[in-house]
Amino acid sequence: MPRSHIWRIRGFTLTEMAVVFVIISLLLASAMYTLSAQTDQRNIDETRRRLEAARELILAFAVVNSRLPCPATAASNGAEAFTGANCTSAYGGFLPAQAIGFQVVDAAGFAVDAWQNRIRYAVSGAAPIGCAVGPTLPHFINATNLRTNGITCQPNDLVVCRSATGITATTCGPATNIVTNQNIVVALVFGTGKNGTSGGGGIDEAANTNGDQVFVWHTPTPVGAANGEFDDQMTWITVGELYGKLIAAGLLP
Amino acid sequence: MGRRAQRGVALIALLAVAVMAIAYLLTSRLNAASRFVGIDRDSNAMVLARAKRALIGYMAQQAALSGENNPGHLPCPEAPANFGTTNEGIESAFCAAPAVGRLPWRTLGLEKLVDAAGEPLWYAISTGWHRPNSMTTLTINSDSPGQLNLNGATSDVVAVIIAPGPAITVQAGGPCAAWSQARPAAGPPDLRNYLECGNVTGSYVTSSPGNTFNDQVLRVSVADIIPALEAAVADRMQREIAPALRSVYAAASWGTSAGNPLYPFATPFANPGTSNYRGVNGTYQGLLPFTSSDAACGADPRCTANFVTWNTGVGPTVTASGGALIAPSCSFPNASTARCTGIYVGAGTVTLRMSARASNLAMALRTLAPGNMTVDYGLVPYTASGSGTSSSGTFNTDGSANLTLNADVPGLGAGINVFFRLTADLGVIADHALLNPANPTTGWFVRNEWYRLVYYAVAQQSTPNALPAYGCDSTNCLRYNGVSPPRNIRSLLVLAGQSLSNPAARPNGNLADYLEYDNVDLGTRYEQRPPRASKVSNPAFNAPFNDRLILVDWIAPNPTFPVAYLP
Repeated sequence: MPRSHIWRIRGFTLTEMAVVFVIISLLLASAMYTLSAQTDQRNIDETRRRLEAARELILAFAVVNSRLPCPATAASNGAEAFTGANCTSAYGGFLPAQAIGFQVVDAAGFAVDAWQNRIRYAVSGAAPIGCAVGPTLPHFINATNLRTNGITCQPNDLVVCRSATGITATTCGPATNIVTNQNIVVALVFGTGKNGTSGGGGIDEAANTNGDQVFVWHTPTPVGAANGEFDDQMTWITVGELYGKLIAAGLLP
Repeated sequence: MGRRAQRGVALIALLAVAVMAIAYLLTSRLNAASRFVGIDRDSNAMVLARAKRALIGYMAQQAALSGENNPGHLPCPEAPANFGTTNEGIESAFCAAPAVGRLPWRTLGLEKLVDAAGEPLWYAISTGWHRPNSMTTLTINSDSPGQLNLNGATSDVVAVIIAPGPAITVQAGGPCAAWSQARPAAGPPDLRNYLECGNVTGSYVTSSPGNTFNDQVLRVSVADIIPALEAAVADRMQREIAPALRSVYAAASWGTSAGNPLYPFATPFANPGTSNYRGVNGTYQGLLPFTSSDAACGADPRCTANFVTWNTGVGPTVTASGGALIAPSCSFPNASTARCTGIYVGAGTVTLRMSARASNLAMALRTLAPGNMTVDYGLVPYTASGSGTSSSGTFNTDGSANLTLNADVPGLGAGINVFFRLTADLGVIADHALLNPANPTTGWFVRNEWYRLVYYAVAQQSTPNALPAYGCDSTNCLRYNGVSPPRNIRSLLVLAGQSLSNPAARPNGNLADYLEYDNVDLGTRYEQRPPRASKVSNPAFNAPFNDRLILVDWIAPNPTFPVAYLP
């Protein structure tokens, strides 16, 4: 009896416990890893949805106001920022959440992506080309000028490139580096991705936040890629989409 | 045995299995949503709708550009050779039927749109809406039908955009040929690897997905595309057609000026498909007097060689300056030729001046071509020849015009008689450049037959009818939109647009099928409202409405452009 009693309270050996813990921790680690990847994927999807929503809201803003909104700046708290008739920061600002009615905003009123990084927005601010008259400036952000200058005007600044290698402050450089040509993008909405706060450190991501008219977009690349980690998500509005929408609304030509 | 059974190893194993099962379930449920067909199709629908909007916008923007000779044509699919290269997404410059391939996303300015299966979109275009080669010109206007076969019928569809879905194995049956789809990374792409069943053979289908079909097809119909095209074309007409029309009879050689031009009479409105487009004296609104005497015009009912012709009851006569004439004699050897013969005497350059009357000049768009008058001369008849150098004309109230055609000939000195013969056939009254389908600026308007959709209105006082004191003023010019202060419009065009009731019944002779509200009442007030495509007539909102005003000419104060729409 005493012997069997001792057996009953003996419990597991250290070796057995160690094996169990190793197995459980391995299982947990793999589950956690998958979960974290899933969370990232969800955030990427959610950000994509927010960018699409932002795109639609910008076009809706255009239908109501007959123009594109100006970007917000760090000081404007989600409101459009004008300097005179022009945008304070046409290429380096944030999505004007207040003006377009974007719902998910941070405490300061800026639209945010799924990682709580502010969504950025750029609008064509330079003189358009191909206008039948004028052009009187600014074009895309002024309702009167947009209509007067006419639907032959094409933007002449924003451009999206494959990589930051070879780009200048105004062009993509070599022809093979071009995603969109210079006369097609009127506005650009993008999120800086999971690494938005820290910054990816690569030149591709740096090109998107340097305040000039040249942007870079390609599929994500990991740390250690030639031009650094890249996880920016981007969408843009073409001049045809904008004019098509305004024509359908009876606002142009 | 009993003791061993209590050691708990089996429990640990069970726990491990349970943890793995839960982990598997957890991760697989996170992914499960994307497997639902409905969510895939929702996501595809958004992507397809965006592609469609970009396609229509791109088409309209291109159509508005000067120099675009086929306004309304759709970009070709991605060139097959661009598949998988750095040029992917760029359209093929030309595409023969069947025009089907991947959506030229880069040409449209889009990012590389993909469907829920991660596959780039495909795209097919109806015959008549894409350019097969550089030689072919298209005829696209508001009445152009789509010719794509969709769901077993030729429909009003000009293009379809297709989300190809994941690769599947297609079983033979019905319209489907057996095929096991693969998606190689290198091109050119094989249609059958992406599309299924009817979509492979050009009989496009929008049906639900099944075992052998998983394409999601979005149609782009005529009704989708034409309003945008009309906006672009109206914009271009204001820029390119209005100035040309303004200048037809506004020049010192016509006794008129840009400040006080004359306008031709209109053609009474009739079926634009069969009208002869001849203006009629006393008609101030209707079709453009677009009758042509061009031999290349062919079987078109608006083409006739002898509508604008010599009035053989008057003249011709001949005079000279810089010399004298001896026994001049003039006649019409036939209805299309005026001829004067005689002898001139003079030193230096002698200008021979033939005058004749042309009928119906103000019922058409014509220009004088004195170079087509020949002059033969010589000491004996005739050793030398030349051509006319200048001309002028003055209109009569009946729309005819007295023309004067000049030719310079060398005088051989006093007392030396030189024989001459002036011959002017109808070539001296040539079609105005506006009628020329090859004109680099305005040819698109003729070739695409937009003139069939244009209503022309002119103030009576600005036609020859009001001669000699012509020119409309604030009491009798045309008016538009009730703008204040009132603008005095000499002439305007209304782009009638697509039929709002039954596009298939075009062309027809029913003016109400072309114009709406104030524009159809045969008055002198016209209006431009925002396009409203409602199928139900609602006079309270002036709906439906799709007319577009083009102001041709006006008296100061100038209208403001672009024309502000009425509400």
